[in-house]
Amino acid sequence: MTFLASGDTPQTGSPCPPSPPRPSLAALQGKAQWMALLMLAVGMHVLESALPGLGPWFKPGLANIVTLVALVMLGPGQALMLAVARVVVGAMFIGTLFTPTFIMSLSGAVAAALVMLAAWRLIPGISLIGVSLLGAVAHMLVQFATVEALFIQQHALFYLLPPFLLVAALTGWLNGVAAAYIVERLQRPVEPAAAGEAAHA
Amino acid sequence: MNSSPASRSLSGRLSGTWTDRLLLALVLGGIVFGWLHIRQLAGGGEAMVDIYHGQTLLAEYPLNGAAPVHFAAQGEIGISDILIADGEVAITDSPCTTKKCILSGHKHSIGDMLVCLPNRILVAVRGDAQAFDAMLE
Repeated sequence: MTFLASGDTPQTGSPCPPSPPRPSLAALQGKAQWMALLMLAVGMHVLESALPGLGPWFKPGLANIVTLVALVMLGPGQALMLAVARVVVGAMFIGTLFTPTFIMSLSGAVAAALVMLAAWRLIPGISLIGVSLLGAVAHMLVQFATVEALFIQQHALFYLLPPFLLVAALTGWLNGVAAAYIVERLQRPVEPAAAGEAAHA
Repeated sequence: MNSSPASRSLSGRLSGTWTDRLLLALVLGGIVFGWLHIRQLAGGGEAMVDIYHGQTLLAEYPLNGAAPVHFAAQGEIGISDILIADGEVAITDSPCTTKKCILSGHKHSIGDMLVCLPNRILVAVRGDAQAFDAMLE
């Protein structure tokens, strides 16, 4: 590529090199939505790390709401990528990248995302609430299995599992309710009056 | 009756579908079954405190010993200080950054645990019954 110096006149008549095809508006919109959801998920991930926990590994899983929204709005592949990217970028902000906490978060998030994708596709009659419930349970189970396999090789660790699973089921259900509400609001068509107010704002 | 999504009540939103409720029942049933099973394994008798680093048992003390015990457990990134006194056990100092193990507080019941994941330290309160020993094996 050549740049014209000031005062130069462009040569006319020579053929211009073909420019790369522009991405479609729909593709750009999809990327923008994914990035917006990622930033939201990272924000929730960081917020959760600052909250006082009920135990060494317990978090309410608020960031999973964003994964559920992405599952419905953007599709399974994008939701899985979002779950992984959220843990990696969030760990950079918190300062836990490649620590045991990060490995636990990543394994739990990937397991939860895969279980949620499978449940969403394969279980008839399930809603986002059931999907979130299964995701939360899978997240907790895989976190315990990861800790037992990699860090503290004691089966007695699983003694902690039932109470943690109980709380995970509760928060998973509530997160699913929140995700279903958000998706319902996002998919509702914009009413003309609201659109007019937005245009004037 | 207006049955649009916007008019759904809070209880309607919370209840989920029949499939969701069935899954919840299965999950809760599994949790209760697992909990009861583990409680049987935990056994009873005198409460003992086991201190592990990864797979290695570093020390074991009775929870209700006559004198307080102050144990320095060498872990992955440093030394975790563990105090056993007055029928309770706690991690009082740790080299980890989050200090969640310290914030977990004092434990006194059979089955309670303190975990410092970065330092790979596990402090478990167990009964001295055979069942829990088998589980630890």
